[in-house]
Amino acid sequence: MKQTLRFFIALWASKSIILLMRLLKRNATHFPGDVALKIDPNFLSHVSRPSHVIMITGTNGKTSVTNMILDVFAQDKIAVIHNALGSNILQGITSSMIEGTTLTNKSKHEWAILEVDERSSRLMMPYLKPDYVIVNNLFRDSYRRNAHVEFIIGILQNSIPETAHVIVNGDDMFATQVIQQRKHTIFSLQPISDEVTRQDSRIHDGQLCPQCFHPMTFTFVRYHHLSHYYCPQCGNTNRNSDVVAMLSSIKSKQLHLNVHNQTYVVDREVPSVNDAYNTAAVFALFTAMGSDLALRSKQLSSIKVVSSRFSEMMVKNKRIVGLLAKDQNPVANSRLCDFLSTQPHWGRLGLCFMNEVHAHEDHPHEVENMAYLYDTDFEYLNESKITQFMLGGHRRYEFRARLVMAGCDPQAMVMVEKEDDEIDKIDLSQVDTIVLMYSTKNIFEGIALREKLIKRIQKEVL
Amino acid sequence: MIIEWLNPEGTMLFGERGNLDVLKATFPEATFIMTPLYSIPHFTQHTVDLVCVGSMTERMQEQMILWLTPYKEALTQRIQHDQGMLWFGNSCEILGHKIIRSNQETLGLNLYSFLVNQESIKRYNALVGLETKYGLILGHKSTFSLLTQTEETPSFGKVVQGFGHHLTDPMEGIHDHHLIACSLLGPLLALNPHFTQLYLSEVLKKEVKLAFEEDLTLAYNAKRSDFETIKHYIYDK
Repeated sequence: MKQTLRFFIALWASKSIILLMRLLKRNATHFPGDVALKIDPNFLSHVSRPSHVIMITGTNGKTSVTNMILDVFAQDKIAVIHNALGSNILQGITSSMIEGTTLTNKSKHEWAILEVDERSSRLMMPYLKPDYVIVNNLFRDSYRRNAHVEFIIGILQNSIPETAHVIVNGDDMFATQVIQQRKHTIFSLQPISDEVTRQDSRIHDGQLCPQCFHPMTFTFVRYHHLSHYYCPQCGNTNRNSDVVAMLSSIKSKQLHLNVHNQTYVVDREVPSVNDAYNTAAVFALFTAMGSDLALRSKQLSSIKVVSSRFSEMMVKNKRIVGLLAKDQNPVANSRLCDFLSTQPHWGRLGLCFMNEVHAHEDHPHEVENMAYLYDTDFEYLNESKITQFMLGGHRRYEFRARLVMAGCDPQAMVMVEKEDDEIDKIDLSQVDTIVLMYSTKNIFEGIALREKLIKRIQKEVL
Repeated sequence: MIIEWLNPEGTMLFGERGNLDVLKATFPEATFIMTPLYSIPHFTQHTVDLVCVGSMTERMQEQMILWLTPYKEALTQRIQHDQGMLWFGNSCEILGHKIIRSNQETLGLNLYSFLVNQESIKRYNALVGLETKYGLILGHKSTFSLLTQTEETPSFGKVVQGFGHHLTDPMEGIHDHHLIACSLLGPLLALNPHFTQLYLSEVLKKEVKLAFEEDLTLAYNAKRSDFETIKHYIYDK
């Protein structure tokens, strides 16, 4: 598209802002893009496109997958445009593109690797025309933004260019719907011999065939709709996978990846099924790109997966675990409840719920829709080993009501006005592990509260 | 006592499962019939005390209309005979005359004459306070739909904050004999225990003791307190 004076004013103004924000030691990952789009709403159609664009989208795992790809590119010493430090919505992607473009609108790098919010993908994909799009999975997410999975499928079907090569999770009957006529590479994770599957979740959106609405038949359900499925009416079933991931056991430190009858091994700890899926997605991307897979498997073996979503430390004899409990996302929270209920060595658990979006505002401007609590599998927390539920914030009574409905012990619930107070009130003599469950909006508060907890344990525990 | 949920596999979006939980815990002795899509609804052949339908996708709305159209007369009879029916979330949209989406029209069950205008991308979100004969109902709207031509539809209540059938129409939902349809998410029965207790007692013609009443009331009161002090009720227009 023709570049206009308006575009260049937007580019130069936003670049000046980046410079200024850097001088002020501020995070320039959103605002510059916002300014550029206000000046030139068609900025992304004007900005120079790198030769190769990879986009990563889907409900869960986007950041982990993106970081793994970036890590491999870093090992190859290939500089790329990315948004690893910024947001994955329009303003964040635009900021990354501004950063990766010269004053004369030449792309600084040949590659862009961008994590993209699936709901916002329609605002970016048609303009940046990704060569490869990874769709890791599609689950229920925020009712307010994402409505339901079919809505997101429709957005992706309409936003991903016909020329793009899509890499999708073959165990996910919804993610595979974005393929349509596009070139594709499918990855999947074989059932693991000692895997504990969950078929009792409150959410299972794949019970009716998405094509003909007939009841689906399942031969294997990992969790929610990740499954081996077959529709007896229309024949809708899992597509054949190009990359088949295998773990010999759930604790195995080797992930085997089978591609065209050749097996590659990623030799590092894959701490969860989700990590196995994420690694398989990355490997499928490199398969689609025609990479040297032996080299890629070695590179993926050397990666240390750093997660802002999970942290664990021992302070004296107490274990402190930090977990991202995505606000408004019932599937992510259900997975977390499942994870908590299946930790055999953590002893007695105290759970600090701090994932209410507006909890750290004295007077919120909005009242949060907590309906997602009723889709979350809090039933998994109905266990005697969970001795304390710390509930604070504006919506604490909704958390309490839902936990009571799930069968959790009301006597174990401690109500405090603010989430910050949960740390003060937890009875350290009743717990071996304290789990801090923070939201995407409250990560920094979660870290501050963890520091507060550390100090309290150091002071009070012998 | 018999409670029937129509197409539970396809109408449990947006936390509606919480409504079922409240009913199951309140009536542990009741028989719950979960009727699959395209099966014969139990209420058309047997006595059922309460029929429920939850939120669904827009494609599922079309399937529900196809399924239930042959049972329109039975639905009308249920209404006329004061039998209980709860249509949660966007399920109430299929009761209208037409659903219009991207220039495509789908005929609804046409029990009421309103039109449903569905956006394909834009989603309307609000915290809604709804004044009804059961008191103030609270809930959230998260919808693609705005309803027009609602004049002849007996509404459930009048919004005091947020928006109703339409951004410019303060009336919300349907209340016709013992049929209540309400687009608010919550889930409705869990979020509004006073309503749930009164409505169920009215329909069943006996005093109902609501399960989890104390905890649900605490949650309602906290929400109501915030409702009276917050600045923004409509989040996105």
